[in-house]
Amino acid sequence: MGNFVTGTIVQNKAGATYEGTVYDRRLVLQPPKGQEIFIFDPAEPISTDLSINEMYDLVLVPFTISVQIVSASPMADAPVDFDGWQGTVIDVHWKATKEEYRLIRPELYEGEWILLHTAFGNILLNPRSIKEMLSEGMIVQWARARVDLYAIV
Amino acid sequence: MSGPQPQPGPTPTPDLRHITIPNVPPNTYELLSGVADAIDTANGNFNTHATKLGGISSDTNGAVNNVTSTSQGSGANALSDTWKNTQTDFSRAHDPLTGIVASNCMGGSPNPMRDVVDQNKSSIQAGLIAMENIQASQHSINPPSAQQVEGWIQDVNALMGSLGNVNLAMQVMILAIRNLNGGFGASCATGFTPGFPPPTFPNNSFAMSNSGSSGGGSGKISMGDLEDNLKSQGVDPGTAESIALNAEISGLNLDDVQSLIDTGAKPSDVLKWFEDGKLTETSLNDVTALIKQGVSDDAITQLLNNGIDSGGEDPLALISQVKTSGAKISEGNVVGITRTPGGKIDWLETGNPSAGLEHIMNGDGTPGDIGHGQDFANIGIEGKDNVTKLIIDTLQDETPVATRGGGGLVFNVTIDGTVRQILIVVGNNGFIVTAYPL
Repeated sequence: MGNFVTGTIVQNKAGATYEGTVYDRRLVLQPPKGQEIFIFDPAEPISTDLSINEMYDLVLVPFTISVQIVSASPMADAPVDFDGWQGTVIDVHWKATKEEYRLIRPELYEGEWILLHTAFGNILLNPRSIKEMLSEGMIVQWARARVDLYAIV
Repeated sequence: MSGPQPQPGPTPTPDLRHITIPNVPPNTYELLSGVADAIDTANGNFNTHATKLGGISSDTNGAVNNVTSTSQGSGANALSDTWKNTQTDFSRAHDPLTGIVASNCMGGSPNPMRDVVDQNKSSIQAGLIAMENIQASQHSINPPSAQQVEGWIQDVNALMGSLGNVNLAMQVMILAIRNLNGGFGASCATGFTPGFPPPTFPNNSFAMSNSGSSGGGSGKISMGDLEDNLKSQGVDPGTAESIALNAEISGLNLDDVQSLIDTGAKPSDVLKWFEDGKLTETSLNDVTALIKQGVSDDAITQLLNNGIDSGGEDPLALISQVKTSGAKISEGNVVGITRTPGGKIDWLETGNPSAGLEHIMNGDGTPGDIGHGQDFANIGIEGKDNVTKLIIDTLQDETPVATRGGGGLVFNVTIDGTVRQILIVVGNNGFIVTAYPL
């Protein structure tokens, strides 16, 4: 298990909707510390039954194409005024294992992911969005972007 | 030693009675702006007619090629030879029209007249006010100060300088118009001379032997018949005449135009579609079919004006097919429609915050749902027109590499040399619900 992003769901509403069918959802998660996280639950949503004001541990994947390495050393000081996300690489070959999640997107089982530790908990990066080779201990940043829900622990 | 120096006396006020006020009307600026507006209108008309000429030439070329490729004989040869000359005449008429709307003649945005009027606006307006002040002071018992009068005189001089600039711009345009007249003055290659009888051709020069299948033209009502029919249906004579004339000029089958009116299209709307160049050989019967299917004239007007992205297929025909299938489509709101490689018709409407283009670009506008416009921009696709094009082109040309539940299709697309994945969600009926990059 990965100690993913934990918080209280404060909003869970339908996104794309056509002729009564809800095709995706929008969530707002309030972590114990820090600002709210807006989450997109893509096509074939898995968050339909998540309750408001309940705590959840969520596996999140940001949609970003602009991840930048700010430090190759975990000891280096990263900029403190960055208004996006920042994390430390803890596993570049992370794979989802079955029976660990209440709900999961099948895509999460497809290939390897990059596991990062952030101030909100662990999240995953899609290796397709990274141009550089990452290794454990690197600190990376990316601008505020859509955050997709991939699993509920 | 030097004694006390004389102090300079006050500057004498110029004698207002001897100041000549130029003969310039007080509404000069408005008049010049009106001329600039008229030039814009003229440029628009030049452009429109150049486009129409180009269209007529192209259509006629297609018709002539059709005849000469399927027919043989002296008639076909004579037609081919005559058409070559007529193409020369088309060019002689078309080229001056496009030349005069160049920015170094009368065209550009702003046009040269508006440009010079805008640049000199403040001095023209100040000069006109100065003229009024001088006139008023000539009859006033309270004389202005010398400084005021000097200022007014300077403003009037600046006004005259500005009008000189305007005159210069007008001279350039006058030259352009003279050149235009010269362009039209060239002799007619086809052999027609204004004011003289039409050219003659040798007897039987258009006699022909048809090597292709017969057809076309038979049973067509004439332009006069169409006009009379419309009048007898209560259409006002001016509209009836204009519709018949436009239909004839556009080379449309006049029976089909009659059918369009008989189907229920308002004659005033039909005339507008003609004037806007929207009714063509391609669109005419599709419009008739849509009206038969209950689509309103207003929706047709929207459709014709939308510039629907359809990947090269006739969008009206596709919409008509969707309507025939019974699917719910808001035809007036369609911004893109296409046939997929599998033959299915998918379409994108302007939509609303929950589905369609508005949803894709902006979501419902709350902080938690700002849509996917920024997501697309992040991969290099900016603005709703480009997003629409990407979605339609992808559905038309690409095969999904994966599917997601609920109609989600995953495609690989190459954008600026980089392969990206986008997901497009299509409803069961073909309506495009949402799309976003993955």
